[in-house]
Amino acid sequence: MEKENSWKTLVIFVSLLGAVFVQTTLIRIIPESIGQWTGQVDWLLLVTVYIGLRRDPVRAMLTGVVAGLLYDSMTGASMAGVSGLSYVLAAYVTHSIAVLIIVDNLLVRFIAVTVSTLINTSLRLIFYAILKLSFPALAGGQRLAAFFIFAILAHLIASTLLYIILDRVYHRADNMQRRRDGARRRRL
Amino acid sequence: MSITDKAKERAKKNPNLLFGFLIIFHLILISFNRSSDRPDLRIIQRVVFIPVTLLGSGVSGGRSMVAGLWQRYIDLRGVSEENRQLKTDLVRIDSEMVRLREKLAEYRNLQNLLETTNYDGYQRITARVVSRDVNHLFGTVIIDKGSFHGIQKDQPVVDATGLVGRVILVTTLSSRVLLITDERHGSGALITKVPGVDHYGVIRGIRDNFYCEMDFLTTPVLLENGQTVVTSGQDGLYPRGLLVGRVANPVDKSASTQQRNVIAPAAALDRLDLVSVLQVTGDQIRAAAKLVEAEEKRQEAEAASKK
Repeated sequence: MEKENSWKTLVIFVSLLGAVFVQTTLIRIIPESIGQWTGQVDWLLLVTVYIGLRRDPVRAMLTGVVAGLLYDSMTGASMAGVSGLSYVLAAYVTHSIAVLIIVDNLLVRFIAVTVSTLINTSLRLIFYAILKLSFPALAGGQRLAAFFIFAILAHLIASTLLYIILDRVYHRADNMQRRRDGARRRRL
Repeated sequence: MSITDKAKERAKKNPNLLFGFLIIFHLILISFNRSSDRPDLRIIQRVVFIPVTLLGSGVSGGRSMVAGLWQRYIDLRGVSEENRQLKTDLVRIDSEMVRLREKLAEYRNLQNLLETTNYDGYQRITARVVSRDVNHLFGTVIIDKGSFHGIQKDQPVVDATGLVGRVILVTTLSSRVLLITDERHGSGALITKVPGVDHYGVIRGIRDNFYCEMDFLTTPVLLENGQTVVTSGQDGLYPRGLLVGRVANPVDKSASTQQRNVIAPAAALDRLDLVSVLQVTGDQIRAAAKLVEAEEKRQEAEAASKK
């Protein structure tokens, strides 16, 4: 049981590192026309939402904390704690949705991603405004609406692709874990 | 199962506690950020500043409101005290006003008594009616002056409007006055004269009070209502010319009242208050009456000689 948890934690941590890599490095090497879209995507948020959808609230919220710390360390900690707050909130809301709607399908994932994106974006904008940080979306209502719409669309598209990969990774990880557990039982 | 595992199990069942803890943790973490426009202030200082300012203004406003309320309460208490004082003053002023009204009425009575009556220069003693004889309904009254003040028996008593009666009993500090409406007053043989007609007769009280009757007229005649009746001065009791009253015969001249001349006294005998006792003796009255009669005869003789 303990080993299983460690294995899952490791997979989550690797997922988060992969998200950080994509968010910081990959965006620089892809063409700018695509980068404008992918720049809207918060990959760490999507990983956190994915963990939240797996109906493990503690792990999801702790993933949010770690994701927030990673994000803040990436961005130079100009808003330390804000990312973590939004990720934890998103994880909690996602878990609530997953508990409320027991069926696990694409629609539930879309709803969770949309709500989490709204929470994440809103919180960030609020703290941008409080901390008097400049941000283009804060210039006006039209820009703000466009920003929200683009963010939601980008996250939905990105989550569709990402969650296919994560499903495979987690499925494989689960299978590996099951095989190891079976071998252990046979040895005993 | 270790303590950590127990905590994990509990957190899985109820993640709200962990969620609340993480939110607080992140809020504390955020509070250490500094805003770009005020790098000297942490975000917590900025965020706290607004509620503290609001709270301060609220407290200040509340304090002002409480102070205002307290001041109003003090004012109200003052108003209540003032109101109580004013009510007391009002009662005092009311009683004072009543007293002054009484004084004013008394003053007017005295003024009337002094100005409206003609007593041919006789000295007067003003007295107040203090009691009525309940045994003889309105037949006698008691005044608050007696021999100590110079009042003697049989002196006439008048008020501002006319003849009241005469003193029949004198004590040191009070006197009893027999009213002209008393039956016993008839024995005094008051002779009156009707001006212009010169009917002489005797006035005496009648049983039903408030009225007198005139008998023994020199010419038996039924007088006309409204004719003035004054004292003749011939009886030696009342000086000549005091107004007694007016003829008030009943309109219904039945057989029983046909020969009766009823006189309504001029003085308000049922509500006497201030009266004057004339300082005159019987001899003075008779002497004055004789002088007047002599003068009248002389004038009549002159008139006859002229004719």
